[in-house]
Amino acid sequence: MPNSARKNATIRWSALPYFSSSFLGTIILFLFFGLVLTSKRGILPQPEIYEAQPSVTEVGVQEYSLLKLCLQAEAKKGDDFFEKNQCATVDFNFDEQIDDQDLDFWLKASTASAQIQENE
Amino acid sequence: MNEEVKLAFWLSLIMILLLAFGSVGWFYIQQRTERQLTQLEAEVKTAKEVERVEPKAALFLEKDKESFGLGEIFELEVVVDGKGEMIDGVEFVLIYDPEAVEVRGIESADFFSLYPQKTIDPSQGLVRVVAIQGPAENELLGKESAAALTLVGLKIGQSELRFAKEKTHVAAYGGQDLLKEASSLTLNIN
Repeated sequence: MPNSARKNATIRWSALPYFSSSFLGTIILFLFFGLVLTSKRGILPQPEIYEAQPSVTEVGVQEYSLLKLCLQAEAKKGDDFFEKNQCATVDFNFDEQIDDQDLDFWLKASTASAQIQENE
Repeated sequence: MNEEVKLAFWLSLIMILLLAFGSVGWFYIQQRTERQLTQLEAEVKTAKEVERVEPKAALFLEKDKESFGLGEIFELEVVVDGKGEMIDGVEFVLIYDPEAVEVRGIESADFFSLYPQKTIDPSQGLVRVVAIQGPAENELLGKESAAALTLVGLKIGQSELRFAKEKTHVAAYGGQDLLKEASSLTLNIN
């Protein structure tokens, strides 16, 4: 396009990428910080929580009793109940909530520990 | 001139849009944060911390006769006395002399609904049982049978059955061990 034609153009289309990129950038920034601020999954699991997980042979009724308590309270990471009662120690699948999957894990682990005892 | 006016118009429009989006986003995040903080404060106020309970439960063996004959098949009840507490589960390891008695079977009792472990190890002379109340069950436990063992006397004389204390627990209230006493039993085989 000749320069004379560009001068007479009503809109300078060459400037459009700057406007659209700053507009999109703003939206992306808001979305990003909005998700970071509102998402609970932004906090990484602490290493000591992993260390506190009982091994297969250690699973017993005391773990079950804690699991039952946390299960009935529908405890989730971030809840005061979860922290106060150390529900992380029975979050066997590390999904930051106590549910039937943790109960299934406990039942499988307690049966497995029985088999280990039989094989010894 | 016309072109500059239009450019200024577009720039102003974009700035206004950016400011509008920014304001709406800031307002939304602030409202959501305030709502979450209010919810958290309510949870902090209502969250229960489980109270510590004094260990007072007992585990013991019950027999229906004073002595048993050689080769006689008899039953022993493993009884748990929860003293009226809400017991979630019982686990025990019973040690016996495999040369003096043979453990032929373990029968479940009525109070506990699930038995994830019921194993006999005749080589080491061990019986291991784990009995629990279901996740939705919260019955209070008085004096109830936890399991019934079927035994056979193999050798004349006395034989002791005792609980391995480090592997015997009565669990309740978020994993507390309420077991105070696990009594052993001496069998007389004639």
